[in-house]
Amino acid sequence: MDLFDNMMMGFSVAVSWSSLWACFIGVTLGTFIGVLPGVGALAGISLLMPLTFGQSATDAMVMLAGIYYGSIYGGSTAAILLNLPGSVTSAVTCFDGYPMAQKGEAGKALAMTTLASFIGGCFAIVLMMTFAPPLVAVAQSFGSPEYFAMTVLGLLAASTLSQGSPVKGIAMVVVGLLLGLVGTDIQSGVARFTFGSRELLDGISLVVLAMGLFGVSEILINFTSSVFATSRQKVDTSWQAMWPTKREWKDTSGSMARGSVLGSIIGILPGAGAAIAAFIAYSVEKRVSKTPERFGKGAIEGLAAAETANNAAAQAAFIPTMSLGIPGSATMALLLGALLIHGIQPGPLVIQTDPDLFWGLIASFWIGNLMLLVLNLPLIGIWVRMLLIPYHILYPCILFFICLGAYSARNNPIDIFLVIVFGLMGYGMKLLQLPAAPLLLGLVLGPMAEEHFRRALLLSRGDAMVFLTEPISAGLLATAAIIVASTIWSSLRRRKRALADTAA
Amino acid sequence: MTAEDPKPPHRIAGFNTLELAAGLLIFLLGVVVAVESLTYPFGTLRNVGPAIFPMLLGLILAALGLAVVFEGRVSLAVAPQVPWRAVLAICASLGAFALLIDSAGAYVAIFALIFLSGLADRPYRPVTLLCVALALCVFITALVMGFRGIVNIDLLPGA
Repeated sequence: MDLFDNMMMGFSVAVSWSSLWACFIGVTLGTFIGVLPGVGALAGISLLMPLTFGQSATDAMVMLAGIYYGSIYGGSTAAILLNLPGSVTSAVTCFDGYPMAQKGEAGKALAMTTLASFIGGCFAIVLMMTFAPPLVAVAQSFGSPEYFAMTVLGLLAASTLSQGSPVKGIAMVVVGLLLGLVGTDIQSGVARFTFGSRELLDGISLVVLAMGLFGVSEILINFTSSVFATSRQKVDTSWQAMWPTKREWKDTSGSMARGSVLGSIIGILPGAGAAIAAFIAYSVEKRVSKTPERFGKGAIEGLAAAETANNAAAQAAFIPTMSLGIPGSATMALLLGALLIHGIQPGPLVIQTDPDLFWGLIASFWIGNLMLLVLNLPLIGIWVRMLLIPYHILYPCILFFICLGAYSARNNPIDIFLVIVFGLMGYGMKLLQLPAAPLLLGLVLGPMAEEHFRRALLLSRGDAMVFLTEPISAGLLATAAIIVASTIWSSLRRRKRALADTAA
Repeated sequence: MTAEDPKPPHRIAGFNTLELAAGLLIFLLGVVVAVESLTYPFGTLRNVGPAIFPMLLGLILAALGLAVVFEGRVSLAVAPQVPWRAVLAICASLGAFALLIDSAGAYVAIFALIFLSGLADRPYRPVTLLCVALALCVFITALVMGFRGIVNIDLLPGA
């Protein structure tokens, strides 16, 4: 069987010492980042990305992916013990996890989230193994018009489905696309938007932008909101207290199944992401439950559903990213950026040109999830102690790693100054409530979008209607148009209601 | 948890000032981009030059900026208090590291970074910062020694 052969090849790559090591480092650092409140997955990945430049492309992807899903595992710890989500994805985990901790069941809640995360992750990996190849087969028949249309749709969906104003989301995508164009135009050799600077001829470095936008500005934002909490909660980490009883297994099996399916589906969609998946799974569970009044007061089903869903979504997000080359979230955009840095053009051809990377990455998901299970269940005590690290020790260290990462990329201090500029920009955007994630998506996809746009016109001999006469491209663009129209409609409606409220 | 902010949003002629600023900034950026792209070759529709794509994006961005302004009419956004001390301290610490790393080496740069960044937080904790700085110096020494040739950072001035 084909799939079997591919997976065997994948495992042969993933169990090599270097990949195992990369996977271990990735999931450990990821859990660490997830546990620490105030350091998100995005900041973590941008900080640690320079670490992967010396590695092979496969090891780099294995490690970065490990950081990502590891951080989602770890995010629940702070959510349960401090009622403070370590990352946005575990916001829903607070609803029932924290009440459980207050009832003295913190150990059980932590164990449950780990098991639920594992189950959700595994379900989504199976889905990826079965669905990615057919998706790739479809995408391989795509030409430039289809690609351009798909990119437009992906960007619009990702920026409008996330929280906050969709108009601002789209605006930030456009800013990102423009930032992606800075530098020498490959086709004509014209230097664009460099304003005479030689440093900008190579374009804006993804690492530098991400470090400023998510690393530095996150620290500044933490100083603005200034809620630093550290946990003094006692956690009973004995096996007996942690392992779910037979009854609890029975209660949660349905929630985990629903959470896995919902999470995977939502994870594939661009823009929705793990946080929304957890939220939807939680509300579904509340509706299905015979005792909905227990939710929010320590219902283990709610916890299980949210955690399976966010991990399933996190893994499923790799499906469009790896098979189509269209990232659904800023984190996925960073991973695509890492691929580009390693000289691999993301898209449906990856599975053919670099099968060891593709299948090795999937195989590493199994290994990584297993490692996380081992890492989290017996070692929960250590992670809990991590929460004791006060922020006044943490942020100078983060600043140091930002400097180290930005500087070591090409030993040029200019890059650190650029990090400051992007950090201030990110902070300003935060103050004006402009989302930063769409900007990163735009930056990564900008050059590809333009290239496909030009190539489509070249191949159609300058017929701009080509985007609408090709059926697939027309369908994708029509969907994009529907998204824009519904956005405008809903924002007008909201406006009318708000105006009516103020008039009343 | 977070209390409802009682402060009413600042408004200019009915527009929420914060949203007005955001929208106008986006609008201006779009205009600047569109104007700047006029200086690049346009090419033909068949062979699209480097001006077309940024030109389109700039125009779209300008339109979106105006949309943000109008959307912001009903917004209740309020500007948070900016912690200037922290912003300045953190930028200064990063800047100091950038200025010192090439000329004075990593140890000096780390001490400058850590002690300046400590100014962001109150109270100032010199002992804690000293410990952090020393730990990071040990870390970078191990890194440079362990990955000789991969991590090329001078530890001491002129080394």
